[in-house]
Amino acid sequence: MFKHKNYLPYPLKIKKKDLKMAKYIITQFGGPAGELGAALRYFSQSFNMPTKEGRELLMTIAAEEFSHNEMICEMVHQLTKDATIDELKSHDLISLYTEHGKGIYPSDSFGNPFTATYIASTGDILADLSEDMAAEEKARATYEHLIDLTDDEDLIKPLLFLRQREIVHFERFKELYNQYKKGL
Amino acid sequence: MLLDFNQTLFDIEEGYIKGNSFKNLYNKYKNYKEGIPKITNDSEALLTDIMMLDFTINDLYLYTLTHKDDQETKDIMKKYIELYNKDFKLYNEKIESLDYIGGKYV
Repeated sequence: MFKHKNYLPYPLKIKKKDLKMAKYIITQFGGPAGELGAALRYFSQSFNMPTKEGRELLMTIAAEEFSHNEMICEMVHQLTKDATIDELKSHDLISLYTEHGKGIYPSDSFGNPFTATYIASTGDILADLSEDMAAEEKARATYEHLIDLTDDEDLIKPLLFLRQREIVHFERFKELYNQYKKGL
Repeated sequence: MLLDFNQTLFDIEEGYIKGNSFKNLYNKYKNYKEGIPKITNDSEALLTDIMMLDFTINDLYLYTLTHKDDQETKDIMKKYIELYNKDFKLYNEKIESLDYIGGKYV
């Protein structure tokens, strides 16, 4: 089961409105390397892990990824909440506004909606864990791209935090993969 | 509230700020400097302690799932869970509820 706590994994105090960055950062919610896909991927795959520890590792990382979704959505909210219609128009966000107002919607930076085709669950533990490692690397790369696109410290620091989590998760998946490969 | 950490782990504050409790896994990106926003009052300070503890417990827990014989890390984690429960209860009683029952980390 899941239990929500009323605090974020990492504090966010974004002072400057930045619609361009909001448009890019949303991909880490609903894009192909995003946190929603990560959470659903590990959650779905966890049921097929052959040990209690393996299943728990995937489920616990899935829960953490859900909390990262909360961070990404809060970042987008703080970046856009004070935007005017004219500002949305000037940043090519008016189509998104038409569909969703200032609501948060899982999409990539082009506005394409989240799709479960971003994730796999093959029933093969080594194939799934290989995908998980690749997914963590892709998410790390995307966070690096996002960091490169801004000079706002209020954004860079939480993005650095999230990038580092991908590195830790990669290592834990790799350890589990090696254990299963060796035959437990 | 901080405990002494061993050779393999950052202290709790540094690990939290970096997003990684494990010295051998830490991977810096370019010359960017990590950090958390400035804490402005006592409530925020207590909440930050709770967030740091929550983060560290989770990070150590993930580690123990692939290193099940590492009793030292499990013992450190248990001490952090005790501290977390204490701070969580204090915040719920003195400031506001952090979950729907003001309950404990399990």
